[in-house]
Amino acid sequence: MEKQPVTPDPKGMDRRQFIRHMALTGATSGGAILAGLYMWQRQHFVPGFQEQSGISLPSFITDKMKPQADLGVAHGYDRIQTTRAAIDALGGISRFVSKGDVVMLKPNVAFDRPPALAATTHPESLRAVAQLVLEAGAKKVIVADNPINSPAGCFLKSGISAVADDLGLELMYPEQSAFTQLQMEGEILRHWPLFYRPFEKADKVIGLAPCKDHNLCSASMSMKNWYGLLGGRRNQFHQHIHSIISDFALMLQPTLIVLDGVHVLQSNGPTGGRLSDVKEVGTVVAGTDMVAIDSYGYTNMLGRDIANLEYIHKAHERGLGNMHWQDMIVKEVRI
Amino acid sequence: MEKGIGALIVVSLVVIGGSIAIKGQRYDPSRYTGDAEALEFTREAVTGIAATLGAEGDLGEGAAIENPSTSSTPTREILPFISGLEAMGPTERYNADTLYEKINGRAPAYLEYNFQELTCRSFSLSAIAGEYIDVYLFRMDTPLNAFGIFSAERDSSGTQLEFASDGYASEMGYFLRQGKVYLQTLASSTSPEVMKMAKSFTAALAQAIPADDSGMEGKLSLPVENQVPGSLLFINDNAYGQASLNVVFEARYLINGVELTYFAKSCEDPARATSVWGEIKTFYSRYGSSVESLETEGTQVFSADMFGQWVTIYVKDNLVAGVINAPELEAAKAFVTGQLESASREEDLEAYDF
Repeated sequence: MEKQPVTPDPKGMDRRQFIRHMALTGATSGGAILAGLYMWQRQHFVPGFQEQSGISLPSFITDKMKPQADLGVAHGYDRIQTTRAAIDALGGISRFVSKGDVVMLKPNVAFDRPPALAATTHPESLRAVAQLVLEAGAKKVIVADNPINSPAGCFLKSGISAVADDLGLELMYPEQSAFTQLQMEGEILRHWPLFYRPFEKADKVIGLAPCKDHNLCSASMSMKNWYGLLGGRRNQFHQHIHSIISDFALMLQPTLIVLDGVHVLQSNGPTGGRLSDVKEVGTVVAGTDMVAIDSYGYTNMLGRDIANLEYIHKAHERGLGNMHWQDMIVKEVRI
Repeated sequence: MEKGIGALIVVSLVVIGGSIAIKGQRYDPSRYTGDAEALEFTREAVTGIAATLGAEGDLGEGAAIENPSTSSTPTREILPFISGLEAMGPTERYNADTLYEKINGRAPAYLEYNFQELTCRSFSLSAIAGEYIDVYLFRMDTPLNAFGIFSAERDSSGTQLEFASDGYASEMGYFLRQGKVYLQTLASSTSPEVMKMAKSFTAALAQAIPADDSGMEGKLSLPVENQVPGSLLFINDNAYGQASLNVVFEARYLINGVELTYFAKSCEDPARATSVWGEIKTFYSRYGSSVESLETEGTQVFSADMFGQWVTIYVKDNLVAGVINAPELEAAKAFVTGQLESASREEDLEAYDF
């Protein structure tokens, strides 16, 4: 069959027109794509991506002055003196708190139990640290926790509110509006309501934890203390308790940690209920590495084998701290 | 025509883009990112009201405390009224799903014993500012499980209570098991006045809670004489590594300077008891040494040595009991003989000679 010559359609477009139209279409499409990319914020438009939104906590580690030791350990039975001595062993509170700072103190006030039962941070432990912070020139001291039981009852019965009243500390209650969604890439903790309001105001954050036995995770110390900042049905994390406790070392880098082992709840924790559950150990340890502090507390305050504390190993392996406190600079004093 | 359609598409794209931009500026975080349900849970958790009910009252199933039928009656009229105590807040109640809201990580220990309900309340002392008493009534499904959690948490240094056989005073509180209820009365301090008030309250509550020892026959067969205070234990399962030894009661005894551990298990019938005893004997025959046994007048006994520790275990009627892990064979035999003599005094049973 003979090939016919192609004749242009007089009503059609020529090559120049075709290129022009293609360029216009391409530019329009490209512009739309670029505009879409510019405005694209997944959480705004796609309900399935809510978990991508939320706050993360800044580091509260101060670079003011390097502590003189990694762990400050003080032995004594006067809680005020022993706590002061442990912090002094690090070089003093002035290495951590500056004049005009707003300082958040996080005690463990999970239960409405009297201080003698050692289920909560002892009020004298709070007094010791709060006094030091105020002496360092802090503008304001906030005390915050989200207890298991009624906050008012917990703060009252634990003696925390009495110290707050006495020293003029701001006791911050976990009202609904005080929670904000946390977003982090933890092993188990990723997107969850956090008692965030105290962090909004704080320049420095200090954890004040009691050392105690815990039915589920063997021990509640400085890392576990941050559990008390979570809202929601946080008990659902109990089935992954070692993972979430190690996540707290990722969630927050506090300015200072104080672990109180003057009296240690050795059995029937975390609530206790009998003085026979409580042992007088007479030690307070301070530092900035939660993993090292808890490792020390588990070994020397609870007298248990660190090989059995899963969350410490998890945190250590994740590079969130050093469980080998023996390899660190430990300054030990006796009162 | 084509140009018209093309222009319409371009205009539509511009309108859509503009709409998206405007919508983005009006972004409502509560609509897209707020986890309202989680926040509601938070509210419940932080206020502690999730399981706090207005209704007051029952301490156990069918518990009769002055006026149990009127659930709306003020607590003062339902709970034993003790002059000098003032309620600090409402009665709180927690079930198996919400127990963690009160005792958090301690809850699983109670759930292991089939916890049913916690009723608790705080009372302040009118006469002493700042002092208070917390009362916790943990109701389990059976008296046996109530005793189980009671004994698991027991303060071995506690002092026996005169008004409750399963009860002791600790330095800052009183603890007892009555029927299906495990009662804790915690004082805010060791002050004698506070402890006195706590004791009065505990005694009144103990009277009010229905007594029920069903299923605890094994415990009743443990002798009281020479029993080491605070040594009575309940072992729910796998006692001494024996799969057949569940629901076992154990106590320690101090006899002539030698401490012995004696256990008892009550079975549903003699055949089952004989079967359990036989399984234990088989175990010791296989892994132990110096096994000797005796059978007389409906009672079978065996003794054996296991790594230098002696057992002497018998079966009689529904009961499997014996001394376990004794340092001396003769001490174990003598104790068991004494128990059999005591149990069979009416039968004028002669002392056993192995």
